[in-house]
Amino acid sequence: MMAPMAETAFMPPPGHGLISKLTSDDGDFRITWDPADPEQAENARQAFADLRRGGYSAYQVEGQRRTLIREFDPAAGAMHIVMHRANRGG
Amino acid sequence: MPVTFTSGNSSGATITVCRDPEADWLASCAQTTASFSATMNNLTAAITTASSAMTDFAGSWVPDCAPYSTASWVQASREETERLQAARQVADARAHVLLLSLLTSDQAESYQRHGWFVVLGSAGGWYRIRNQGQAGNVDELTGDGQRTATWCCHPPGGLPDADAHVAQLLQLQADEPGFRAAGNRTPRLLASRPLVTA
Repeated sequence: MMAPMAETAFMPPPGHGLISKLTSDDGDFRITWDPADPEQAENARQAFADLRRGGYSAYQVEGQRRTLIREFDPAAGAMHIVMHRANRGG
Repeated sequence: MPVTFTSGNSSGATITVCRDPEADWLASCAQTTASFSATMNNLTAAITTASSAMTDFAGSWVPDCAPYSTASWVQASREETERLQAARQVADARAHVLLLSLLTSDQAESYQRHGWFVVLGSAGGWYRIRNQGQAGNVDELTGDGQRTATWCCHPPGGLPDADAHVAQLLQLQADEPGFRAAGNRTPRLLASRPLVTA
């Protein structure tokens, strides 16, 4: 059954980065940050590191280019990162 | 009425005891009542402790009011189920939107119209992700669209299906060898369903 289209795709504020953490409760939990704000960038880096330690995979999304990443680079500027618990065979 | 009991001992002396059976009975009753009361107090304290522990254990889910009402419990359970279903619908909708935002227009149209889309893996393999759950929903295809195998590889944790399809899509596009290393592959006969057209 197709889910109802309740909203359009989430867009972070211009120039901001976005981490979409896939969750069962929310669909995705979103963290945005302003690369020009060191505190926000550090918070995003910390969230990224915590999720990686928790077994999450991370993919940087740039249009149709997708890259598996293991480190968060605050200097890379705004980017969209999708994180989910690692796939495994059922 | 007092009763006199008489008995002898080894020295031959006679001991006479005057007792009142009614007083004995009352004393016995008082002792039994006290013992019963103490037992009940201990039992009540134990039940109170256990009840408190149960409430702490189960949190607010267990109604802690008395008298216990089955009807109110059923109602609370139904409301909780409806709340969870509503939350799940919101999660499903958000996951669906995220997935569509990551697909090409052709993939998105195919997913909405047919319930599947085709992905080119990072190592050159072709895959079809079907919107039919998240276990065993990834088909491995030949270049001309014939299914050769089915893959079971998805995130744990009961994500909405569309979120699982996002995870499958991203790993295939960015790390196809990792997907194949993590998943379980079931070979399928060729020519079962021609699906991909140029």
